[in-house]
Amino acid sequence: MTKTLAIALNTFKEAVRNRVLYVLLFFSVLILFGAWLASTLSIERPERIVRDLGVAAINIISGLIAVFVGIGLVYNDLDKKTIYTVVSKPISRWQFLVGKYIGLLGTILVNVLIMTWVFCTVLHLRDAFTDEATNQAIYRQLESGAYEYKGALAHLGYVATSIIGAVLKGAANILSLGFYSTPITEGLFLASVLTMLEMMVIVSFAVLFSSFSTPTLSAFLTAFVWVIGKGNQELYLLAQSLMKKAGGTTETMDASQELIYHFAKFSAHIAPNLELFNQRPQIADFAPVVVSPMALAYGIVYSAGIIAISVLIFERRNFK
Amino acid sequence: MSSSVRPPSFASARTLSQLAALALCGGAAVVMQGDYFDTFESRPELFEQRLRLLDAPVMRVMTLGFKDVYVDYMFLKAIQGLGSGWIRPEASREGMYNYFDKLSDLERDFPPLYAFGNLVVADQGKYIPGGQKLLRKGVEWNRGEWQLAQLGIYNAIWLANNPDDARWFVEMAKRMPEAPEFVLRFEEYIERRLGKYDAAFDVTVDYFVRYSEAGNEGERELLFNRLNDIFDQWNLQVVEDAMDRFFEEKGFLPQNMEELLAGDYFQRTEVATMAGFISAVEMAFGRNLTGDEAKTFIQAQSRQQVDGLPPDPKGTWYFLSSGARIEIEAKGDPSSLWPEDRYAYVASISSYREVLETQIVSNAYRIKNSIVDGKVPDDIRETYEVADGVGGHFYITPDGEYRNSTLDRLVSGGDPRLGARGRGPFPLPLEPSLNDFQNDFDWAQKKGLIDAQGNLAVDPLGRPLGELDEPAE
Repeated sequence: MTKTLAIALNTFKEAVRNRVLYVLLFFSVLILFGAWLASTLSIERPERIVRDLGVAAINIISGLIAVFVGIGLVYNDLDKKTIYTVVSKPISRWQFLVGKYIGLLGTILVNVLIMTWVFCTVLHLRDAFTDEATNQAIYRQLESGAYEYKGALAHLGYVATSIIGAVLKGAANILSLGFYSTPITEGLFLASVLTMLEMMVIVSFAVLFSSFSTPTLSAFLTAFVWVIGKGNQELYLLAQSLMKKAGGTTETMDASQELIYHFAKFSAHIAPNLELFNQRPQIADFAPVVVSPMALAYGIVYSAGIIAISVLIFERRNFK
Repeated sequence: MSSSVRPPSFASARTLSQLAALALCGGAAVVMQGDYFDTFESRPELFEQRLRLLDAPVMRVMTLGFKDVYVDYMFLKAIQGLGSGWIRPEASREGMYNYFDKLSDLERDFPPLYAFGNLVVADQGKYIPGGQKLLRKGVEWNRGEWQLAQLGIYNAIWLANNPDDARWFVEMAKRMPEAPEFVLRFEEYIERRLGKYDAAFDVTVDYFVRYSEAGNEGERELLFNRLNDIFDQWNLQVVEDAMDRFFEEKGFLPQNMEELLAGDYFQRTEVATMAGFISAVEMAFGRNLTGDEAKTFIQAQSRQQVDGLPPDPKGTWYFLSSGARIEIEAKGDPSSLWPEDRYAYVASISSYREVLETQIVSNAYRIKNSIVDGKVPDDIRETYEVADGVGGHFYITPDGEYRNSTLDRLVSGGDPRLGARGRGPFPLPLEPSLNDFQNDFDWAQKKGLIDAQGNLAVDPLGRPLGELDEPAE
């Protein structure tokens, strides 16, 4: 276990040195602030828009980190020949691979938490900088009923305290594991937990593909699994509706319909169902977000299965 | 060898040629882009493109679990498009409808999509049935959203003129616990619009009893005013029914109320009256009746049989406006007109009072200004002192105040027509004329509107009677 954790720690350190990670983080911050901006364009329910876009952005950026950081996971060690140093030590291949997996997962966990913190901060800022709140803070009402500007210093003070307050409240949302939340940040921590479960599955595929192919092919395959996994449930429903329309038999379907039907059925049984981790509709509608035992078990068991396959392949791999 | 790895200097011919190529390509791109945007308005297909959305099941697959984000994006895009593409004449109405229909298939529980879709499709695109379909769908999928039902009622009544549709939305609103009372009270309004004044009356009494028991005085007052309107229109309908019979028999419109009262055009009918209602309420509460018992009692006791001209609930009477009748006849064969247009000249003094007051308010300001500008009242009498449509006239007092002789009589509490109730006989003709009161008679004679015997020198539209004999072109 110590060996695995040592590999994991090393992988984490290696990943945080990856510039791609910072580029993606930078874009995530831009998107999260952009969600606030986009919500101002809506004539109704801007809270839905900002929460929806923000949670989706965290999910997508996490997926991209998993794909682009995960693909070079094993390949880099092979390319730089560092794998020889590692395998020559008393460490099994499975420990190496599992360590890599945990390390990358840890990297993504940290990133998801950072993005969630930034997002909660954005939402708290949004609450603090409403016209009503700002006006109340920077104007005082005189006895005559008129309003007086408190001055630039008071204005600046309000802006500074609002920013610090939002950052601290955002941190409290994360550190309290979601137990502390305001109405606008309700359920966001649990949504991040679900994103992490989804990433467990995606990273396991990244490790799998990275264990036997090149980074480009790994990126392509991992992205492909992610896309299929996202649309899997709907694709299956589409297949069912095609079958229903065809009267319960494939014989009356045309060639393209039959192809879609078989592909959907096949992928539904093979590819992961990432819709299990999707609670964005609940986030958008301010409904309770639930991490179901089914989703939890599915995430753990599915990724463990994929990692087991990776180990099987990796243990038989010739590094020459 | 070493020169090949050294970066070329900025002044080298190679760098300059690269920069020139870049400038050329960049410049061409900017020009092309500019041309693209300059011709944006004349290319409707650019706006039309976004109207064609795929079916929801396909979109659900293609959005890869981000359907809610896609809907948000398309919703924001639609908001931005409202001021440009949506209102282009080239954008097809069905296309606009389909856009929101498909999006709402994708995300059924996002109420703003239906409300905004209705705004685009029905209000901007004038495709009312499309807007109604969206709202119906919205109500069906979002059972707590009474605002959608309210929009549906509004559209059905004022835009689509479709009472069945309005009734459906009211029924749905009634099943929504959060729906406020004012939305539910549309039920009464719809019945009134349909001419079902008895149903409208019964619904109003129901609310009246409930508010009385809850001690809600404000709402009670509002309902009193509404009852006045219901009685007014209910009674007016009795007059119109009589006119229908008259028109059916004679083939032309009645010239005045006496003509209508002369035959059996008024049949015995049941109406509710304000006097009956007040007395029924006093009796019901005197007997400590509550709830449904009180409601049923008031509904029954307020009604009475009327076998002639029904009373105007506001205390005056109905008359036929000759000026309006002439205008209606000028439209052609009255039988080709809708009854509501054909009988638009049936008026009540209470409604006419509003007309008089509006005229006074609109002219009083101009008259004051004229006096400030140095004109004495005599200079402006010609312009503002005219006959009204109910046998009175407007006049300017020496202080420059603008008044009306009919309104004076109404305000002083006098009945300007001495009360025409039931079948008559009435002390004065029911068609108001300038002969009815001495001051109006004197004024009209001085203005040359009637001769010494009181015969009209002009028609009710103010045209000299001689002109009417000229052959029409």
